[in-house]
Amino acid sequence: MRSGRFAELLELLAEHDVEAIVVGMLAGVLQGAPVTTGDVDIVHRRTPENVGRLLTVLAKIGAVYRHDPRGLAPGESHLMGAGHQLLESSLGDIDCLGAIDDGKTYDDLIDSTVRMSLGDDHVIAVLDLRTLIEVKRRAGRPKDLAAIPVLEATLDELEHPE
Amino acid sequence: MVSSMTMELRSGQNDVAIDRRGVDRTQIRRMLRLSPLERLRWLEEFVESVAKIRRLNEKRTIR
Repeated sequence: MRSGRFAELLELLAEHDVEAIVVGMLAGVLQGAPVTTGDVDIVHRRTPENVGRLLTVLAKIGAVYRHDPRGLAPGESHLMGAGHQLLESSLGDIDCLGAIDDGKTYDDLIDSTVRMSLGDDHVIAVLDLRTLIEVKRRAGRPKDLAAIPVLEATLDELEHPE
Repeated sequence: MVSSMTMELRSGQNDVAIDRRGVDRTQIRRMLRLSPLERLRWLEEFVESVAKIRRLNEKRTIR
């Protein structure tokens, strides 16, 4: 697990009007789940304009593929596709996901998000807890299934506060 | 020395705090009292602490 400046990274995306949804365990943390992760996972909107804005942010933070010793940076064609671009940057690891959960895109998921303020007029879209749990259950991998009890307990605390 | 009465009390408190799936609800309630930005800071500090311990121990051999 590498350290990351998660808040700064999300603020930068918001500052540049990048249309993206925070997914993965960071979405859980933002909604109050006491879980950990080492990266920022986003599903970005795959229009040329938005990918252009995302590329500007990625260039600013020196994002390159983290499993490639050549230090290659992603290009427009990579981010326009449905694949997963696993990157490292000066602000930590960021995964730019074209689609998740068997092909769901930004447009498919945006209605299942909550808008969260990070202060200073920065608002980010975060995959809501109920959908996050469904996605993790369908993914079915041991690491996803292991997180479900904590995510479900967090949802229960939100819906039935003490 | 912990008296048996104290032990019973602690056991009772744990029953309230830990749900039937083993999830510590007090940690969740504490997180829910924070703002989203504070939750991110909590994660950053946690990850940084783990990374720091790893750096300090990376050249040590595990026996």
